[in-house]
Amino acid sequence: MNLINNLVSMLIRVSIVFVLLLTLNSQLSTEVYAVNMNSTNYNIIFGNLNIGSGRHDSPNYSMTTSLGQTFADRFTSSGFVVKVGFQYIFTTMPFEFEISSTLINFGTLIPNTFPTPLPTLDVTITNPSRGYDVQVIEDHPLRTLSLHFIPDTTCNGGIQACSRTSANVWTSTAATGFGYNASGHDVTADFLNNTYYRPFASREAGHSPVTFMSSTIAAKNRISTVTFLANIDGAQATGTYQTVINFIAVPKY
Amino acid sequence: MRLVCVGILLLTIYHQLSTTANAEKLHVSVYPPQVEIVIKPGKSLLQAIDLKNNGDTMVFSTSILSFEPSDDQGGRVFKDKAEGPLRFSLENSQMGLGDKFVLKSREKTQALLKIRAVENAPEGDYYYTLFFVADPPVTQTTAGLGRSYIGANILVSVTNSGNMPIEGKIAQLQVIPRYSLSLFGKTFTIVESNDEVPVVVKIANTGQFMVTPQVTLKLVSSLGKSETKKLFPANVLKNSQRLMVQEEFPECKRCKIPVSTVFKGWFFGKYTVSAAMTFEFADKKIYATTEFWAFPIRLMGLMGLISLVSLISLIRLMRHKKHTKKGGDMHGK
Repeated sequence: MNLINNLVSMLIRVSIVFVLLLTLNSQLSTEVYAVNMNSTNYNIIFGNLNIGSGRHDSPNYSMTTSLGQTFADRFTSSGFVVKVGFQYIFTTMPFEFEISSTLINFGTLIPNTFPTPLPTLDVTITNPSRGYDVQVIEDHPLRTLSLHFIPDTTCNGGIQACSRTSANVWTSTAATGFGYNASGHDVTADFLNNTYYRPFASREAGHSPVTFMSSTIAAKNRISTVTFLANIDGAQATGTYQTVINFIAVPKY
Repeated sequence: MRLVCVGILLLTIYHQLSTTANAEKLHVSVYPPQVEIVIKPGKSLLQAIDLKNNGDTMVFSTSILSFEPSDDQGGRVFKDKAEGPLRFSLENSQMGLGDKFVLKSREKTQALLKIRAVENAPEGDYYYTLFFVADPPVTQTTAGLGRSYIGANILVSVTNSGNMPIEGKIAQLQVIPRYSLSLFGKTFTIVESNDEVPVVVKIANTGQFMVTPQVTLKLVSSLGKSETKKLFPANVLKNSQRLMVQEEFPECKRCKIPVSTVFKGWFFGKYTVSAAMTFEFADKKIYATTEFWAFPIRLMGLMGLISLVSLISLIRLMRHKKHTKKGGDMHGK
């Protein structure tokens, strides 16, 4: 009986000590949510360390909150103000860009024959706070080291001629060149279907990048498929033809 | 032994010659996607921008380009380099602007971007994009090689006093009509009663500093019933226009051009759409109104047609009866 009493008494003591230690620990280890690094020459502003944030609307009021935010209001220092945080651009989420494959392999091109299957890649964008643009431009037309070219496409030509900003029908295997089609979310309206192609803008020719995928509103997992087509005629010199295709993804400002 | 050596040599040569790149997957993110800075000439600051690689291990580099707005939907045209009175450099110990670095899969790096406004920098806005550039793969086949750029916007206002005049105005407030009727020198915008009513609001900034207008649209019927919509406070860069858009844009079948928002319901009679524009930390308020009329025109047309057909049928029937009666009378006589 005594033994049991002793054991119970010891358990109670241990519990009291444990609770005391826990309380002491929580007092000593109070978390700090804000980070602020200053010197006379610079000021580093990290992304907000929010412990809670959101936008609250009702028919009668609208309010934004960001609890625990390092800089809840405009951050002012001697000579500059930086706005980077929830209160101003309504985002704590990054801007994401994904390309399913960076290699667009044409294999062996056969004169006046469209490759099957055509090489494709998927472009995915996530920008939960704002819209975005995806632009494209080639370094130069497809070419060999000995400077033989596959020209940029003009599509079927004539009334079905395409340009860098206006896609048109390319179904004729007699029409040679190099171009792309886009389909899926937010692609520009000129790509009416999978027979509509554009030539690439070319850095070498001094062109500006051209937008083929764009949205003015917040985006999540917006996916487009870019299809590449290269077609040659019998007079095309043999060799390995290459170019660099630049994909440029930027959030809307 | 010789055979083995030759075999190994041939295998090595084959391996070297047939080096082809695997199809690499790019998946990157930047944070923050945008930084807005107000700075005095001669001052500098440091801004951290994160790059996270969720795809395959790749070689990256950084670059900064100036841009200008190119349309009213947040589009842009890049310049060849970073222009203007701002100077950029990276304060990272291992990485300078333009230097290549390897970022392994699932790893993150931080670019510490130093931004300095030169002494006597002219007041005004300057717009840049910081790019993280992923190198293209290498291959020996006929191919297109994808080089990828992901950007973060850096919008800089240079001012000596901190005073940045707001010079924004409502450049366009328009209801997209189903029908237009010009009468007595006035054009009436008419929609069907059950139409979606798309509204376009464009804000023009004629000043040297960007503005971030908060636009509220209010639709009021002639009976006083109203509906309010808030548009997303997007930045309107200097000397440009911007279409303001509702954050959660409703589905719109009638929208053939980009619009700000859409009012839905059953409309009848005269409606007024007013736009109220305010600015952050400023008392300035700007208003604009437009109006439209809604009628069930198709329904009215259909009813008219039915009435007309009924009337014609009735007249014919009466004539037929009259003829029949006349014929009966003749026979009777």
